[in-house]
Amino acid sequence: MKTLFTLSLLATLAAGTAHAAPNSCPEKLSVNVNGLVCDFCARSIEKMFGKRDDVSGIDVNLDKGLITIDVKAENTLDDGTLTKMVTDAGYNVTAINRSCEK
Amino acid sequence: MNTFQVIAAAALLLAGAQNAHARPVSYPGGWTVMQTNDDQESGLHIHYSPTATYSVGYKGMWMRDKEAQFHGLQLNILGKRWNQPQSQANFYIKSGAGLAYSDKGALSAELSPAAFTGISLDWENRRTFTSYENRVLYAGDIDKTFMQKARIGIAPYIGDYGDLHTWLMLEVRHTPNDRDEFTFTPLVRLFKGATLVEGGVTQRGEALFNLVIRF
Repeated sequence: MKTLFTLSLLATLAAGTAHAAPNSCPEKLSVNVNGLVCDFCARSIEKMFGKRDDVSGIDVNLDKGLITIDVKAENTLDDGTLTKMVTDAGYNVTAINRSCEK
Repeated sequence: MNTFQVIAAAALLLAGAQNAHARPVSYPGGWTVMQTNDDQESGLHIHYSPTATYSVGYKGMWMRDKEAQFHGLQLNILGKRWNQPQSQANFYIKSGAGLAYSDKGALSAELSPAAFTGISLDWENRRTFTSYENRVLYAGDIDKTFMQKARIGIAPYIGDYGDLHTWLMLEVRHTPNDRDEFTFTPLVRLFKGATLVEGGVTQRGEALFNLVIRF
């Protein structure tokens, strides 16, 4: 019984660690979009993501059609939310890349 | 004109008539102030976008030749957007309804229901810009007009995000019912951040000035 309890405790801890791992460092999201040609229009991206408490920074690269979003540690932005926000800002998402900034 | 009318007209002189060829629909929760002046009209459009596909707000116009003013609500609908890797195009429908007022000539303090509608198309990449828009306005005995205009523009340099951006444009306006049917206006568009300014002069020497601020 004691062994069973220890194993289940270890399994629970392992599961918890695996779930938290992606959020343990600030996440950087690189989002490739179509339609990103106008600086004035692209302000909508800053306005929308700037409202979020879980976003610490945003950068727009008109040359590359790339939006870079810095997410605060212990937070994450799922693909669905990210895609909806970018679409609402006026653009089409073509790729999302995630990296961890230690 | 009474004091209120003078104040309203003066306010509109500092404002804009037709849109300044900036997006009439913003991001969800976004406010936009559009102020435009050309040789025919001045006006003001303050709109709010509940979603990314439509906006609604106050529209005011001062029609100089007609000595008439319009106050009402305007609805802008994003009909379609085409996003490509290096370009973007948009199709909008813009309509409004309200009241028009004039006391010019035989119109003795004439107050009339008024409405307008029109479409707007634009296409741009980072170097070139084209747009077309039209508008039908009905205001009873005060005014009944059709207007269409098109623009072409070129950016003399490609600025990065956050830079001051400059566009050199030519606007051609066609107003079939007017004495001057065609108006050509070379203009400069400048924008930085969320503020856009345009200034130009028609072939008759009349000024154009537009201001758009997005919040």
